[in-house]
Amino acid sequence: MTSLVRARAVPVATAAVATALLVLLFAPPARAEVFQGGCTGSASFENAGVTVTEKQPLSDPVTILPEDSVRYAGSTGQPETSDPVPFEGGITVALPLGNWTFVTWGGESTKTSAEGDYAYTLPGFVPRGTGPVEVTATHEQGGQTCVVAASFQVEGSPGPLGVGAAAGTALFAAGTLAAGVKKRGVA
Amino acid sequence: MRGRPVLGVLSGFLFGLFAGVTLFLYGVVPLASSTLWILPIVGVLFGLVMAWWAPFGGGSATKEPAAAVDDD
Repeated sequence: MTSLVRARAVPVATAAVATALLVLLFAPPARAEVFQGGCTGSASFENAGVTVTEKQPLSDPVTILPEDSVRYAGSTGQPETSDPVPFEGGITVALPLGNWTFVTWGGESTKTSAEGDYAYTLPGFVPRGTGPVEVTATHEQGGQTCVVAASFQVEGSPGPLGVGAAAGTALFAAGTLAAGVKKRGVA
Repeated sequence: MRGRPVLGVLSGFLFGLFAGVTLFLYGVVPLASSTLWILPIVGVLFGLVMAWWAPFGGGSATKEPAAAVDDD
């Protein structure tokens, strides 16, 4: 009886853990606007015809083009100072585990606002048509910390990368099922 | 286990990893979704269950040696 209980404990425990993970997997993520501080800002993607502001909901992804020209403007909402004050900030992408900061800035300035134009072209290895990517911008200046986050998607389709991922899924699904083939000499 | 646990763990992990990447690439889940790290774990568990259950035949039981024939 003891060996029978032990033999059944493994699949029962495995099924319980798998169920808990699947519940977590399909639980809807808590999404809300992320907006901290008194900063205001906007980014107008000229060819995509979209404008993102600090009030853009995370639940409403912005679709951008692989290459475009962006007219940006931002302000901390504070008056300009006579003496330069330090500032720093950065842009972070949320990953499945952790975050990746790919742009940082810092220095000293008397100005509390900025505007300009920026043209970009995404590298070819950046996949198109994927799920939303959460991008967070942080700026600290004059004792104020501003945080704003928005979700972006790149227009297009995954192409060969998606086909390869789907093929890998099918291949290793077959391998997983093959684990259920009895070993030689086992009844 | 009657099945192949090493194959189950390795293939299950890679199955979950590729499945998560496929779901992200085709816009089903966002990049920051917990799905992308949960699926490999679920894949490993699925592989272990398959190795324990081993529902597919493939090995034959050891046969009894034929009785010696007396030629006398």
